[in-house]
Amino acid sequence: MSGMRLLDRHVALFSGSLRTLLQRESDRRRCAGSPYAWLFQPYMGEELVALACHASDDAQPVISVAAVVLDQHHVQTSRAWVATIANTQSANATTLRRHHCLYGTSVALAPSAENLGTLAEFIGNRPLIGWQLDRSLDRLNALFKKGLGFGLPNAQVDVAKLHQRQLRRLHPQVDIDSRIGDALDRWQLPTLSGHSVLGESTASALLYLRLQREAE
Amino acid sequence: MVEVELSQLPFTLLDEEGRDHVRRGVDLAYFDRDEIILETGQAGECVFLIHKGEVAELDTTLPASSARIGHYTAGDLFGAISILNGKSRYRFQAEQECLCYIMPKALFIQLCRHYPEFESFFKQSLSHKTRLLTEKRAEGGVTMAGFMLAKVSECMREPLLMDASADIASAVKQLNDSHADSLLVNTQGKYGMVTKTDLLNGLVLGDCSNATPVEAVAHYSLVTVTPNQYLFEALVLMTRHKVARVVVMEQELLKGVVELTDVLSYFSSRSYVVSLQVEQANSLEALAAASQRTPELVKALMAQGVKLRFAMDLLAALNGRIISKAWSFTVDETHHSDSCMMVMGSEGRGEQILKTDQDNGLILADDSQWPDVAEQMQALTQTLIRLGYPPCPGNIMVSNPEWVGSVSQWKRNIVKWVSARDGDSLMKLAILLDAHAVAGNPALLESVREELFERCSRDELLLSYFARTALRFSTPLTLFGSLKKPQHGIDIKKGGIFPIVHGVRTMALERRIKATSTLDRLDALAADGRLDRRFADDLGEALALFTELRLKQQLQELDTAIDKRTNRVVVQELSSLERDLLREAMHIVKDFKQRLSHRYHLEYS
Repeated sequence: MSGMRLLDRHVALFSGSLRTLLQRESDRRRCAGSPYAWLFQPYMGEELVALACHASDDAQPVISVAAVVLDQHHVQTSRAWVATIANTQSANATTLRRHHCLYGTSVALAPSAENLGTLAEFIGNRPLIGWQLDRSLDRLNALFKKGLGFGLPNAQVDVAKLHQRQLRRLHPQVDIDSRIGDALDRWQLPTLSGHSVLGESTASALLYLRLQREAE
Repeated sequence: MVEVELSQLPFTLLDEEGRDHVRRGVDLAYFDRDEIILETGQAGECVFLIHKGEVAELDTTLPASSARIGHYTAGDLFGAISILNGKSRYRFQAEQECLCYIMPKALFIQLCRHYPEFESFFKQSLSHKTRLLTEKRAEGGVTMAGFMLAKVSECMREPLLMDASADIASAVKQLNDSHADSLLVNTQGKYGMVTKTDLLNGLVLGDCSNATPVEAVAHYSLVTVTPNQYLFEALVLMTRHKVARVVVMEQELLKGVVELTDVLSYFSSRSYVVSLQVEQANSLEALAAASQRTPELVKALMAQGVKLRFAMDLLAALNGRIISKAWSFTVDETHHSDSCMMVMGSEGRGEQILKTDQDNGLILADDSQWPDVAEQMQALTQTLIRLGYPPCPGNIMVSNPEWVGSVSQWKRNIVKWVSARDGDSLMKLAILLDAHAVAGNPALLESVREELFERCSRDELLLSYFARTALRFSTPLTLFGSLKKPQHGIDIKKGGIFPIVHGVRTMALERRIKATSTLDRLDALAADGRLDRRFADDLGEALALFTELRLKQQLQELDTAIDKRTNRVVVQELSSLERDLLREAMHIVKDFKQRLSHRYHLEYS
């Protein structure tokens, strides 16, 4: 691995505001003895995880999440982690059903430490990418803090920002739309049909691969 | 995003559960332009289904110009055969950025196990490809299997047996009469062979005269084979004994002779055999037998990949010879100089490869005396039907008195048709314009053609009416320039061949070009400056492609013995390369139509 890319990775690890940085550091120290300590190690592999979530603002939060592992060539859609995280007993049944239909999830998991742990382990310490990632991570991290006591510490790449940067470089005058569909059109990728979370995470993964190649 | 398009083959062979497995089991992969997806010899780990982009299949052992052996676009599937074979035989390389669904090997094999039809789809295309490859390798014409399995009896000639005491002069005469190269003599129960070379040596170097008996020059050490031996054994014997002919004997009985030219022609395309058979035919039966063999010749030529233009020329020459032979059998020799038989339509243009209906007519000299012409022409038409030329549904045949006339009658007809200018007259003019003399006195046709040019080539109004027919059928392209894909196929004759042929015919009429074949007319138009060379070449290639596709279709129908000929090509059944070619060719036709409507002012008609 070239020195440049190594540096990139560590810079990415320290990105974000000072507050999140300090938060992450204190989380790391607190979890040093827990089974999740390895999540705070810097990642040295080639893979990333594309994340997409949709949340509903009810009394009981209902969040549909999809995470897909990708490397330089492949998007491993066949081994994706897709679920709706909600308290199955107390959450609004209609909202839950709507999530299943609209976002294409088939399982509902209670936001217990165990279930959140499987997601955290699926993601591991791999960097996260996603379309407007911070927005979706906000909701997810709230759950994580409640269930596991820490927010996801992974390095993050917001594909929407990447897209804006590339586009501005190519066409300085262009008005940039913030919808993922437009970005997919712009880079001639297959369009998204429906709103499934798996679809959106795959789309952001493809967009990331495409933009990476554009940057080279 | 993972909504894989599973509504086409081979996934339609799965049930809903199987398709669900596929949907859950596929990954996505992204390949850059020129990136190698699967290398030659690499183990097949997954099946690729292209979602977007193009992939080329390259045989790296071939030179770069012919290395590209396959082309895959969105919706196509590759890599399955690499899994079944264990490793990839060719290199798959992305030609554009590609997005592929990849199905892991384990899933693919599991599907194959559960759904035998799904598996047989790939097995079938594997054998299909293997067959294509062997056919490509066996570029010796008849496929390798045909070559190895042909028996001597399939290729031998009738022996030409002469009395041993006959003199050299009569032997030479006999050889010439029967278009043979050698003859056999029988002395005291032994056969001897006399070849043309033997005769020549005997007469020039030896001390023979015309009256010497042939047995003096004959050879008695003959190389023999039996009719059941393989033909290549005969070839081996010829090579070993340095002779050009072997004698076929069966239990001491003379059966025939196999000549080197026959063997070689058999292995190449049989063209020589068929044309020889036509020349040698001295009865209608023999001629009919020779005529029956032309489809076989066409198949052999196509298998060899002979350029269609040359195949058409060869076939036109053969058909011309057959018809003129038929003519000489039925028509008395005294009438040959004051009449001219012409073939018209596709036959006249020399573009008839398989025998379609006969279009022919007769021109008589103004001063000819031929009272029973009607009966004789009736007989001629019947003869041609026996030879395998079906009658013309439009009754454009010599048996129809309308298509028999003296030169001045024909000229009067032309004047009448030109002034009438209705659909029927225009069609008759078009038919006459393609006329080509096959028998009799061609000067008669020339004078009629001269009149036709005189009347038509400066008549802008007529030309405009004449050209309009070329636009009658629409080009099967969609609004976006891709091929229309109706279920029953596109009519390639109406959509492709007819506009080119008729448009070129109109231009040839305008420029007084005497050639009748469309390709020759295109050459002449380019030389004349009426069309630019590149466009003329493109049109010629497009026409050749259409004709070839149609011919393939017709040959298939010949095999399946469906007596109804169609001109329909089902686009979905073509390979993607052929599809591309067809689309390009259709665009050329469209362009040509625009030029025609510009030149002949057809915009508002």
